[in-house]
Amino acid sequence: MELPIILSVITLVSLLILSVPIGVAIGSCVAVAVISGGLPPEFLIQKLFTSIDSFPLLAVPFFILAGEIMQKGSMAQALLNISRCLVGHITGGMAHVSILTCMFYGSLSGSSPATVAAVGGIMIPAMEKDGYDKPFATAVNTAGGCLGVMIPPSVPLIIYGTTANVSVGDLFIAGIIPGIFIGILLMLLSWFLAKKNKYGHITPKAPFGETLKALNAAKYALFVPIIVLGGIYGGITTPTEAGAIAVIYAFIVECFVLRTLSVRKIIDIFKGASITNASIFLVVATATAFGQILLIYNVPDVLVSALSGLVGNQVLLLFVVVIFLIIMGTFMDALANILILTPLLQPLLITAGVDMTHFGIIMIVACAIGFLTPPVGVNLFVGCGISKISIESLSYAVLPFVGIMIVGLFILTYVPMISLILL
Amino acid sequence: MLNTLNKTEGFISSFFLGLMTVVIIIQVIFRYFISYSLAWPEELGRYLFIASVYIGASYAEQEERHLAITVMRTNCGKWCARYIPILVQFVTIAFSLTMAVWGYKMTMFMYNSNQLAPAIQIPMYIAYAVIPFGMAAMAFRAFMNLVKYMKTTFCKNELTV
Repeated sequence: MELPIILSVITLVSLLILSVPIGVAIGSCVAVAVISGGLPPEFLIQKLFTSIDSFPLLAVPFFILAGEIMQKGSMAQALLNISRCLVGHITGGMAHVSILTCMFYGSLSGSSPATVAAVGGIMIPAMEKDGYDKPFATAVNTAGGCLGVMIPPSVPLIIYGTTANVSVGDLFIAGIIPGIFIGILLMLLSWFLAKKNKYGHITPKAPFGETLKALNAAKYALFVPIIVLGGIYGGITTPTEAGAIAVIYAFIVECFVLRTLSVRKIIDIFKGASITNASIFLVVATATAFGQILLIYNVPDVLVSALSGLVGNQVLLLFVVVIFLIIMGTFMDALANILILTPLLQPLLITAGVDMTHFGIIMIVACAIGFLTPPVGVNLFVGCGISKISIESLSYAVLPFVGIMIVGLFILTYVPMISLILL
Repeated sequence: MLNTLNKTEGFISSFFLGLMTVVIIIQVIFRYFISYSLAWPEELGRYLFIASVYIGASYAEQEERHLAITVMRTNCGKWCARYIPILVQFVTIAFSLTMAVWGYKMTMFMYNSNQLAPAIQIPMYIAYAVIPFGMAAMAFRAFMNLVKYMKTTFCKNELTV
């Protein structure tokens, strides 16, 4: 390893530990590599510009905006009512309602912590009232929030697609079944845990008329995935355009049809979205630049030659890569992981014959597991914030869910059909 | 005056985000309802997005909403909680000032090269100028945060002593 790489990695790790904002930490580490390696300073500025100068990436701010609008509006509540009618009567009913709502909400939102905030904010207090253990209720919602990034639209999938040069539309389509699959696994586990610990009350199945009524109330929200996925699947719009349409649709419905938004709320929505957007893309821009630095110093080649014994054995290679991704996910931010690790692993995976769309799904599920594991697990922080329990007790309660998601991840890894069948 | 100044980056960043949505919608409408592909919305959308990100970076600094791994700051006792934010602001100021200076150099380079954006025909240095502008503003916001943290930390110390 050359000196600039060693210096920049030391800078990165120490700044991250010191709670420096991730974008600033990665940016400083690139600056250290530029100075110590004698590269022109313009290199970094050019990367800051060109790495986010990409039309597919524009889908991210659109889905953030659409998500903010629907969160401030009334669509989350409507989705919750329909879930309650559909699965509320099963053992551990409220847990299933949470997870199903997360699945619905995931098809509106592209972010995992945002899904926890939107669904958990309503469901955690409701579950507590219904006699569920507080850490369990919080764990169900923090785990369910992961479905927000698996079920399209998905911010990390857009970032992965632009990094790996894979079609974002294909990735969205590939994410549908794995998202539902993980959702079902989470439901099975909560059924088992609720039965074992006798959580909740048995409620009668909602009459058909009530289900229809809830379906009618949720029709505006349920139309969003039809616009987004229908547009992409039918080849009518690019994911970016679908995002812009989702923003306008959500805006018109919440403003003029449901009348839930005031001018004050609209200003808050735009301000909130611009902060989220900027904080995400400062990380994206600097992490892409760091990925380039690693390429300049041939780090991927070093990695390929170190792991060359594994290239012939796809099963073993994927096993090592998945374990590596899970470990990295616990320590690092998901986006930074995707941007830095994808270019590193790509040559290795392509030589081993792994489909990069399939690998995108593996990457996203691994990242989602990282959202649930301390020390860096954004869903945990949001969950704790809502229910005011300690990170330790939530991390413990969420462990079974992490376990079942790891099982699910390995199934998705070794059965590529689940991801690729719709393509 | 100061009140207006405080809202500048938030306003510009949000405004660009809204404008970007409108521009892309125009593109979709023209393509599907008028069957005429416009060349400029895609490019303009991308530049508005980049501007929104770098101006927004300063806004996020002002509101202290940048993504960070705060385990050390929140879980390692009073000393860390008190002094780490100050250290973080110093690092942020150093980084964003460096980026502002390098960004200025890059912008001047683009200025001298007379390059134009292919579709909308604006000079490229205008598109690049958002980086030094945003980063300089971010350095300023980090400095204001530093002053705030210094005040609370050291004023408290005086009181307890």
